[in-house]
Amino acid sequence: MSTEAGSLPTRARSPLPGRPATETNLADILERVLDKGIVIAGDIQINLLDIELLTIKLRLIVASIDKAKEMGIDWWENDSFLKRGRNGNELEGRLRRLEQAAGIEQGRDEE
Amino acid sequence: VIASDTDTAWYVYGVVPADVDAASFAAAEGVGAGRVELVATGGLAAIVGRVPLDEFGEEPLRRNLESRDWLEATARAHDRVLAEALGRTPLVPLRFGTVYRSQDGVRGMLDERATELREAIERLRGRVELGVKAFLVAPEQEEGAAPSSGREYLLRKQEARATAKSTQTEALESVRALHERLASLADDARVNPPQQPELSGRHETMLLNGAYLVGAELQPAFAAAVDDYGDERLELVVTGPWPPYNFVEREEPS
Repeated sequence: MSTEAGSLPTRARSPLPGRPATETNLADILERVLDKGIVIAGDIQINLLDIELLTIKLRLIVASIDKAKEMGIDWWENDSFLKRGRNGNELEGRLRRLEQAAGIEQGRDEE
Repeated sequence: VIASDTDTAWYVYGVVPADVDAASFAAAEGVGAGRVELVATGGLAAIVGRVPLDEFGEEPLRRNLESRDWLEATARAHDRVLAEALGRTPLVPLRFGTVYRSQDGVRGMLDERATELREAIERLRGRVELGVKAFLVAPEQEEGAAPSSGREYLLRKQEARATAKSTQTEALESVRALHERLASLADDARVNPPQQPELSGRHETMLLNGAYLVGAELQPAFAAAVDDYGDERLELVVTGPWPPYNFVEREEPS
């Protein structure tokens, strides 16, 4: 299949006709560019997981997984059809290791 | 002002086939408002931009990442460059923050990862990522007469909670059916954890945060499938087209 220059809709246009285009949501961008995309170690070593802000972000994601479980909206986790890619347990494990390393107490179970 | 090589490094956005027309991203403003160019070897090209080491060196980068404003501006620039290239070329998006000291370093990476990158380019050729989020729309609150007693007040509260719970259970079934329908139109699909209101800026409960790898020509059909999904309990939001961030193989740093 060939793709001609300009043949695809650009981001500025909503893919849904009749719906207004809005500025791309920061959450949509952050969850993609910080967490997805191919990982290649460059010359400058940064560990995104060491970053405090990222820790906060991960905490939010994990919190949302806990909340999702509580509310019964973690259906994809029990569905082998959907269980591709990364899931909450992996992320949670990473956060736990990070928190242990940082000596941060777990506060989420108290809720 | 041309910065010297020792003061600058090369930020890598993504990888494309080397025969792509570089003029197609000339308009994109990269991170740090920098210009974007291609570094090619062996049929592959990296989309790169020169960045100052006093901003992207190890220590400055660590500091900058703590700044929400810097992170937002830079993350948006990363996406903007790739979005500019999307639709003009097959493309493998890199995760945020890949920096090389020299263009030779970038070429070395392209050579080393050539097989994997070529495979990904072919798999993603002619495809884009679309995002679909489903929010649970709160039903209209019926304004009844004021409760005549504390007991009635509590009963009503209990009833309202039960209704909300069953509404959500039904809505979840609906969302699942929606996802299956959309996944059947897509070449690949991912369900990500719902976004927190702090990040999404939406207070409604997010029941679906899906990503779909869709043939570019199928975008209208995909959008129509979302539009035609008549469920008043759900507000559906389509985002994209995105570079296929969710559909490149991950390599966990060990």
